[in-house]
Amino acid sequence: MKWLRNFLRRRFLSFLLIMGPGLVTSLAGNDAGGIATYSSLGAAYGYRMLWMLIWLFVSLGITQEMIARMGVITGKGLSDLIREEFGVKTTAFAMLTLLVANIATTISEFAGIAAASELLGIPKIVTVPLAALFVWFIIVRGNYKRAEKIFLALAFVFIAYIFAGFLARPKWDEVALGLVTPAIVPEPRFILFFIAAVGTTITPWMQFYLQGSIVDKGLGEEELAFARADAWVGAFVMNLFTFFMIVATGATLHHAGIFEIESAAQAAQALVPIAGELAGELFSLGLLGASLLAASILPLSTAYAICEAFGWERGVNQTLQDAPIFYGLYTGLIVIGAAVAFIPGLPIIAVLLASQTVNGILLPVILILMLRLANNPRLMGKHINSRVANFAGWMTALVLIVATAILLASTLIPAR
Amino acid sequence: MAYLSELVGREVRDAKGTLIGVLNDLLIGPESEGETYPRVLALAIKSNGGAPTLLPWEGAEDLAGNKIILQRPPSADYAPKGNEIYLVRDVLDKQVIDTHGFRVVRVNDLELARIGNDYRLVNVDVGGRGLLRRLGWEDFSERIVGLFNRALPARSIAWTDLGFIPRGDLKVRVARAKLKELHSADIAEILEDMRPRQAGELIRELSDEKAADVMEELEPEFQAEVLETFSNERAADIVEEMEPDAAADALQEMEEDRREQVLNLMEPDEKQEVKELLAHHEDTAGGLMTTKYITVPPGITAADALAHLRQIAVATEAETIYYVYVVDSDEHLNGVFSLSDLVLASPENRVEDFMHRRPIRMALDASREDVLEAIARYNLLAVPVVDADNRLQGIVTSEDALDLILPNDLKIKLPRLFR
Repeated sequence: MKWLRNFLRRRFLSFLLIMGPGLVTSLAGNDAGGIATYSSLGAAYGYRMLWMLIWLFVSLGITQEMIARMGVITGKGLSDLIREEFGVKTTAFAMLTLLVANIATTISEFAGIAAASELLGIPKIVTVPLAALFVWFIIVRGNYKRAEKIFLALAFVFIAYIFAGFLARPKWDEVALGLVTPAIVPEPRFILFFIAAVGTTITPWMQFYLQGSIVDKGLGEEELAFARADAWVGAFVMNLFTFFMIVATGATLHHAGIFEIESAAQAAQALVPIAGELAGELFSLGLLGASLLAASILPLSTAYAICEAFGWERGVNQTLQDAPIFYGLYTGLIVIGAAVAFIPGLPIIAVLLASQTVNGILLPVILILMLRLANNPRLMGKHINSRVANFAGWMTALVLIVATAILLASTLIPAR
Repeated sequence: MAYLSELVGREVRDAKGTLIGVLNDLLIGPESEGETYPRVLALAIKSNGGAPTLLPWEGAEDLAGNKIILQRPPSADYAPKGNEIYLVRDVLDKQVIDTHGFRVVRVNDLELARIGNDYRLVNVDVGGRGLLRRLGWEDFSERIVGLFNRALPARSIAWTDLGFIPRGDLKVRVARAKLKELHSADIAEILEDMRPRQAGELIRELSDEKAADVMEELEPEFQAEVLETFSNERAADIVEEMEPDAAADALQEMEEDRREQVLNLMEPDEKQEVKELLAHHEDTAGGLMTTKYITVPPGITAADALAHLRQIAVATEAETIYYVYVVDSDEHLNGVFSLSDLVLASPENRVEDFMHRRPIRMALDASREDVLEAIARYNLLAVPVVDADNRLQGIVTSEDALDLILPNDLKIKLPRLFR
């Protein structure tokens, strides 16, 4: 059995922990906002919105592949490329967009931490400031790599959704039907969910983070195939999780007549088929891990991307005096995120959904810049976008813009 | 003085006032032409779409006005030699090296000065003022901060202090030559601001020895990332020049396949040494030690030992000659003496007479804390590492130990991305 132990210890664990950037980013993407969005979607419409996942899988796969390709071919980060190709004004606009989206997402991560702790019976007045301090110190002074492993392991608890999806005995014929029938419900809530679902799956920050990690892996052109495969595997794994998340909530909450999720405790009910009475605890652990993971990457990657674009000193190796803007942005994001989550009586699920909607609304700005970069032969040589990638990319951007316009119209024009 | 950002987009007219087009870019000669401050050679002018036309610089009215008026009608288009630098395309917004401050900065704007009938590139604006100018907020912000009796944060570096980060098509030699003159620790400081591929391209120009010196100043994880951007042959050449312990640390961080390929291309001796070091866990005495130390056989006299030392110290590239280890033919550690012991001993004395017979020694699997403690407690310059049979395997120098306690190394294992 020694070989098995060795295999598990060395190979399997190292595979899980040093997985490709695409896969890790995808896992971190299923954070508090993602869980709230997909649980809400599953509760509201059961299996009817599963078709979106196929479209989202293709969109996510193509964007991640595009990012991976740009990272490998140019060897530069995304904000680096945006600055070099589009100049200061466009960069300032893109960075503002990124900052707004990431403030919203950071708030959602701390809201996730608040929700998880309250579910475990610890008041958020205690946990949220603690989490903020913890995240700040772990990055600036602590051992981040060990912390990342713990967070990832915690977030892996969400694998329980897969089992819950089976154990809840969904009607598989309805699941299959939902997967292939594009259903659209003409109501504002649906459009909101739709934008949030795209925004939580393909997030602006993820593009910057992913391209950065690929560049730092130092992959060369000959490893392009690996980076591409990693991007698609990541997209697939993420959508697999999402699929079972929707199936599990559909089979439990929606089936039981709960169409609107108002609290984390309700969302946790989807895990009852596997965890029984411990569903709440299991759900909180996963939520805590995913939220902490994203909360520790996100403020840092935001500060890094913005400072890279403007050429300001950056990185935690710099002192506070040398990199005041970097530390200011980093600390500011954590403080804002924690402060909002701290507000007593905050409607957590609504906040989570709103943050993902903001991301979805802002994504086209980043996506269009990415598309223009990936089509620049001076940067990409023969690896410019294929027609399929361009079509899918522009479609995603366009659909989001149209959906945003409809959402705006429906909120501005009162319903008759 | 004129700013590139304010020139681009201006109308260009000939002496009669006829509109030729809009200024799109400025061309300077390659740095190899030896001018300290390069001269503007040509203007790239865009008129109603299409590729810009290049007109040679033959003198113009002052560039300070809101349009550019050429003094003479352009006789013919400028024929590019192919090695010109386009200021907007190649320099503006790019990351460049500040060879004076040892860091990587971004070009926010370029300052041109009129010298005689020419315009020359003098300064590179890398500060907040340049950014605000590009956004069109310079005057506004100036008035705002003026209310508080402050000035806008201006920061520029001289063109002569600028080094280019190599990019495939752009060949800029002078800056690289200057880079080669920098101390390897300073080059390393610059590299730490870069992505692995950029860093690799910069190192590529250096000799194997210099590249190895620079590499040793970087963190092992980054060393590995940079090494992975090289061909296996070049990586092996550089690793051979590194101290074996540093080489092992770097190889340790590389992907398994690449590590094997690089190892296989190394000279047999160096390969063997590095392989032995690789076998030990990086946090143990075995992982920290180097195999470059000096030994003498027992029974020889002080005079012979000194002669031996003179003879082999350079050839073995020993990390320290202050300690000499006495080992028998089976590598068993019999004792140690210091350079001062040796110099102060009578020439005819045998080494056994003045060596320390029970030197402090570490087992291969001793933790790095134990190694640090031994070095600190006994004030050693190096501590020997032996296997279970007391055979000398290597030494950990206090220098290497110092690296361990410096904040940089104990610091957070963050993904490179954020450092």
